[in-house]
Amino acid sequence: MLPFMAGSGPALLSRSFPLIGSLPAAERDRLLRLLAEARHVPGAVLFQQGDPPRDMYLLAQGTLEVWAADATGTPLPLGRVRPGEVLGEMALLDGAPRSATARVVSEAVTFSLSRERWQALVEGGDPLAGWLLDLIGRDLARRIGLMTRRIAEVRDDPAALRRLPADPRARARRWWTLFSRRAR
Amino acid sequence: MNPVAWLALEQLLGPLDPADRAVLEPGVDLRTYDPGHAVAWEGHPSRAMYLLMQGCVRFSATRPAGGQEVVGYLRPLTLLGHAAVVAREPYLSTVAAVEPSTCIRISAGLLDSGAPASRRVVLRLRKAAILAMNQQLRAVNARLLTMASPEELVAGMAVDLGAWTLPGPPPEASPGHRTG
Repeated sequence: MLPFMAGSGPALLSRSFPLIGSLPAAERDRLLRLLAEARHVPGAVLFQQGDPPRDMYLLAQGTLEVWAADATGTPLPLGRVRPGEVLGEMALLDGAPRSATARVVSEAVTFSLSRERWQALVEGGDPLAGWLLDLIGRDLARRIGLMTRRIAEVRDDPAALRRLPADPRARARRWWTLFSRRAR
Repeated sequence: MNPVAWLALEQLLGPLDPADRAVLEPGVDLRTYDPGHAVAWEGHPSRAMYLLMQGCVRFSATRPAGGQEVVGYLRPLTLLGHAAVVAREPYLSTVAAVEPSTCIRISAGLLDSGAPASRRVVLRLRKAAILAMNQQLRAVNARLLTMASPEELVAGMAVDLGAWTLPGPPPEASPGHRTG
């Protein structure tokens, strides 16, 4: 079991995901035993678009960038992932190949849960499965909330009204910059 | 047809045994809405999520400068209000019928049921809500990435958030639950 102490990976995780800190100690320790901690250097690729689904990641430290190829194969930036956010969660739920590529921008610490461990939790009716779905659901709801607010306010944002670049990568980067900005 | 039977569709919860149905039935009912009538109001407590069975609803959210901006449309067999329910936060937008619409109302309380007998079907309900959120985020992302000009956004962000194909006619709406 990983020790739960200040400065350790689990402490980072708890700081980035307050919900984890709110779990009863026994449940939190049980969760930590299921997660695999890893450190990643800038430029490392966590997974590639089209890869088979394996793990879900909780980002405790660092920044990742997510890219996906459009219909012509041009890679387009979809957004950045920051500490406290979940990545690759659909690997646990829909079993489809990865829909995007995740690359490390700044040194990152992740905690991953494998699909096999997830399936064991679900099949065993483990309450941690419900708790993890809650964590994933809240993260997706946060993203939908941010998107909804940005769509509602972008009409009043002069940056959105500038002419869009013709290059699809530059255009995508403009959109995700606009849409990842904190809503007012 | 009991509205719980609709939830047993493969795209939603999948097959439900009698114990699952017994968990769901107290928290599920049918509601109908005339055009212009609200299913949910932005900022109001999220006490239920809805499965749109028939018709079409429009999402709108308050602009910082005032007024409402259309942020999307939903067509049958899609969930709505689920993001707020999952996050236990107020509704993110106002949802109103643009055609005569029928929804299955699913009480938020069902998602919090921690009883062991409920656990399996509650997990499936949460999973359905998450898959719907993911589908909607992907639809918005795809729209943003292919939009040629900001005018398309300025003219009104009419994102069709997508839907599954309705496999057959929906059941008769229960007259006791007309809402508006």
